[in-house]
Amino acid sequence: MHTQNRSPNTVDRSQSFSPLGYPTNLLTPGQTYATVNQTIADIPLKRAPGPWWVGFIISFLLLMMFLVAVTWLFWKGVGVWGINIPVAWGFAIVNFVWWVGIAHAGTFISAILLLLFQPWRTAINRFTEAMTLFAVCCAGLMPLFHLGRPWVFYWLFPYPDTMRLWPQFRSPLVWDVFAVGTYFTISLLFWYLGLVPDLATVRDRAKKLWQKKVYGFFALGWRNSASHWQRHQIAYLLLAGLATPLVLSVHSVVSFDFAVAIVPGWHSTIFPPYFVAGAIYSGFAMSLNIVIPVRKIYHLENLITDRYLNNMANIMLVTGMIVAYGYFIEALMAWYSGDIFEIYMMTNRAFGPYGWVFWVLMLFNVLVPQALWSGRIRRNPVLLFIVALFINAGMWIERFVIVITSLHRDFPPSMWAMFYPTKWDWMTLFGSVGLFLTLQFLFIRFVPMISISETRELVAEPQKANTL
Amino acid sequence: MNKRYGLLAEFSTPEELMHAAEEAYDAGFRKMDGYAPFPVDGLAEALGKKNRLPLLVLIGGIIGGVGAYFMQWYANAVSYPLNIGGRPIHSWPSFIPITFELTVLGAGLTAFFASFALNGLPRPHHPLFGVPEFDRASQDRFFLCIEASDRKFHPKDTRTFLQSLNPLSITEVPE
Amino acid sequence: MSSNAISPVRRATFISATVGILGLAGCIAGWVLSPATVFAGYLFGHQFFLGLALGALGLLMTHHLTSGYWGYSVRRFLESAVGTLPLLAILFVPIFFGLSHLYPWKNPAIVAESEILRSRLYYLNTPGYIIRSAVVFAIWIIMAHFLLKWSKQQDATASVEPTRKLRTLSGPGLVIYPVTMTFAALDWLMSLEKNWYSTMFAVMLCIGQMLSALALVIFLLSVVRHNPQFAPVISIDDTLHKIGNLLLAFTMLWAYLQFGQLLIIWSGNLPNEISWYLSRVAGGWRWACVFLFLFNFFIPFFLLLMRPVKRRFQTLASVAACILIARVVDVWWTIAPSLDQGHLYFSWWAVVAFIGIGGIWTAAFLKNLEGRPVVPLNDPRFAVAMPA
Repeated sequence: MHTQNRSPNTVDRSQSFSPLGYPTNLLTPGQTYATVNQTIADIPLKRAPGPWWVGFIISFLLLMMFLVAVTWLFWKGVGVWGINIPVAWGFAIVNFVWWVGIAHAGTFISAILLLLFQPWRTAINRFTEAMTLFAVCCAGLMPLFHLGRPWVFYWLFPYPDTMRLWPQFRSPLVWDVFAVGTYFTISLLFWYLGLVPDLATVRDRAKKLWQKKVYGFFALGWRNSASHWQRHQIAYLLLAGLATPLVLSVHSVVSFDFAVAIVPGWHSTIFPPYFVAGAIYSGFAMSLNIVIPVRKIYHLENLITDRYLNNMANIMLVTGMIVAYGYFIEALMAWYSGDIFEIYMMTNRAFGPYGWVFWVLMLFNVLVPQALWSGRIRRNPVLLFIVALFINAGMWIERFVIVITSLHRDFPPSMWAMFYPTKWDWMTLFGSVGLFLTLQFLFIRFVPMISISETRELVAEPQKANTL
Repeated sequence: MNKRYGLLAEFSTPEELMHAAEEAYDAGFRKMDGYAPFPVDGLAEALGKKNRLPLLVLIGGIIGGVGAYFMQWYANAVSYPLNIGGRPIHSWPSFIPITFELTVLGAGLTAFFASFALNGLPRPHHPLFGVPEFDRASQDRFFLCIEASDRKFHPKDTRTFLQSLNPLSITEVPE
Repeated sequence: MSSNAISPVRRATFISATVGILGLAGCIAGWVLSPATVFAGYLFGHQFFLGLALGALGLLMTHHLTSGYWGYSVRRFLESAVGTLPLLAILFVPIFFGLSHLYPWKNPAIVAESEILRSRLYYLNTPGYIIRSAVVFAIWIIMAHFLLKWSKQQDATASVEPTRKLRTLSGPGLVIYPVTMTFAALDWLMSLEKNWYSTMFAVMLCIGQMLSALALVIFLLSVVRHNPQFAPVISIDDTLHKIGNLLLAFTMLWAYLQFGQLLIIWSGNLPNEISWYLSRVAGGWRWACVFLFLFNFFIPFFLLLMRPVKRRFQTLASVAACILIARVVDVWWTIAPSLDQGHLYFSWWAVVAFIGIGGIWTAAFLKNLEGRPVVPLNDPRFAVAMPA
């Protein structure tokens, strides 16, 4: 390829760290349009590397386990799970909240950082948007499984049925249907809208006819014209503007599932912002758990620089502190309320039969992430990967604590019971991870995983890419 | 005689394209478009392009929101009034979340579909795709195309005009 | 400030100090005549101006951490507001003498009736209140002291050391601010109600404070926009647009938190929680809610969605002024219904106290502005953040 590109050589190569000590480059100096096109757009056009196959096969096996667990569930009913009365909400709801939470980083990175004109979204937004879609898929399945009769899920929608009944719109569970449905739709549109110009690039670089046809079909005839770009940019910004409050609202609605009830441990006004922060927290952790290995396997260090990792770690630190504040204020207010049920719930949560889970939660979600105050850890991919794993596990445990420990000791002691997950519970949880990873691997294989057009913008404006 | 779609000039930087677009607009050309592998700030404005997308999106959002509130009010307060835990039949606080969600949905769907519809997409084929060099519009080159349907278009004069902008190449785009 | 601007600022300082002293003298008179109303008004006035200072603290630390370009244009205003914290600590002392007029836990008759209040007395008592107030003020003053000290050093030196220190403090500082505010909010405002509690309350207050401070500095920025020294930081209309977006974000956040709390408490409808809302919609207070909805959210929200509004000083400043007025009403609506239950009221003593504290506060604020360059110097990130 012959290219006459301006500017990449004008980047000051010495300045990869700011005088304040954090990494500054969003793009390794020396990148040109040609290198960017080649690095990103040729991944879907070439054969997959070995590690991809290893990862894909493992994920696919997990997905098959999921299929077994779900088939058995449909055959036998929800009794195969460990749920009982009073713990009627078990793993399905824990998994649901966990997955919806993970879905939040994508939109946060894409939309909020776009609105804030933060250039450090460019190399990671496509990944995390895809992650959002797949996580919402996993999340959406969970309440359906939990319905008991999943084939009548459409009863949740308002349609003029023969008995002239309507959904009960005062119920947060119905709000959920609309919130998660809207979230999935908007995320999909946002992701696809950003993807169309890149699909056109892949179309134009493809050598094989079938590749040209498939990518050409999905590129919708995109021509890169100024009027296309203008409407595209405005639609993209508008969708970002819409998605920003949507991110807040979706996990808030999920939190209303709990907070609107008067169950001690659920009925707490801090829930909406605290859930949103937790969602972004786990979403960034999951992004890091995917971005770090992918960056290594596909040699994308030139595009996904340490500055991205550092900034993502910073966001985890901020949201992690908000989550920690949530734990603190819940305990403080339980005590201040003077309400015996609130006080009992808090004591039981920390020192009851599930007390050890609570302390594991504190360790994973509050104590371990304090390591992120250290810049050295934020810029060490391996350590960051490990901290992110802790946070992902911690956020799952948090939802377990919220759902199970609030339910298992109901108001009268005659309504006390323990919840023990069965092997089908665990298979559904890990199987859903398989579903998520399988989709993620397919995405990495067939779709340009970094926004090529936005990276080209960084090449054209090096001062934007490398700031203090 | 083969009909032509227009004349396509190729540039290597966004600045050159921007300059060419301004010159062409000043020269009186209107039916033309610039092509770049990423959005170039101000290019569409320089070419005199306008858009009405924000207004459409606002309308979409209002329809979504009003529709959502009406749906909930009609279903739970008019068609089948139901007492839930002694809450008022018309419980406005409970109706806000879905109203909000559907406002966003209405606006988002409008933004997405309107932007493609106004762009005339999907459109699988276009005369420009007949030019082999044009593949690089999605990669690393910047193009200006003055269309033959422009009132000021003239096969020779327009080529001379484009030549004066120092492009890398000028290609005739067949219909 | 430039030389020809000195005299108006000096004059404004003098006038506001005079008005403030007159107002505070009025409060002393009120203490004798109508102590209960005066203390309510005094707490209200103090909370509003404390909100400006603390909100500025939060915004300043956010700016140091994120080094957004918007911050350079308003940083001096934020710093001046933060510098008033020692004054606000002194102005808080009179409240210690009016606890029995304000708080149900100081009223033996109410305590005797309420088992919950009795169970809290080992925490909610006069020495505890004073000690906790002193501690939170001390923490805030120490943070303010270092933020101002290092900012001055930054102006004087080309070394990056002060900037690094500012960042290092701002990270933990943004954790400390809401945590200290939680304890302060619990003592000063939440305990105005007999039984009420809400886990979101302190967060809501912090966001409200930052919204007030942001509205104030935007308004001030439009006042000084003709001063040539501000030209480098405000010549780009993008700056204004970004600050406008920030204002929009805080307005939305405020509405989101208010609605979240309302929906959860309204749905639960538990007696200890709903009491807060019942006294806040009763007897005309409903109109205060409508006012707040319109002027703290609805109208600013729609105006700030429009691009042209955010790109002109006059329009953005009008929106900021509208929000600032709504913030005053919000603070009154948060405090007053707890003290005189039953109907919407408005007391002249509250106006006197507000003017008194406000006058002194404004004088201190203006004094802090003097002698500093209007734009931060030597911030290593400034040149880079500045669009070419």
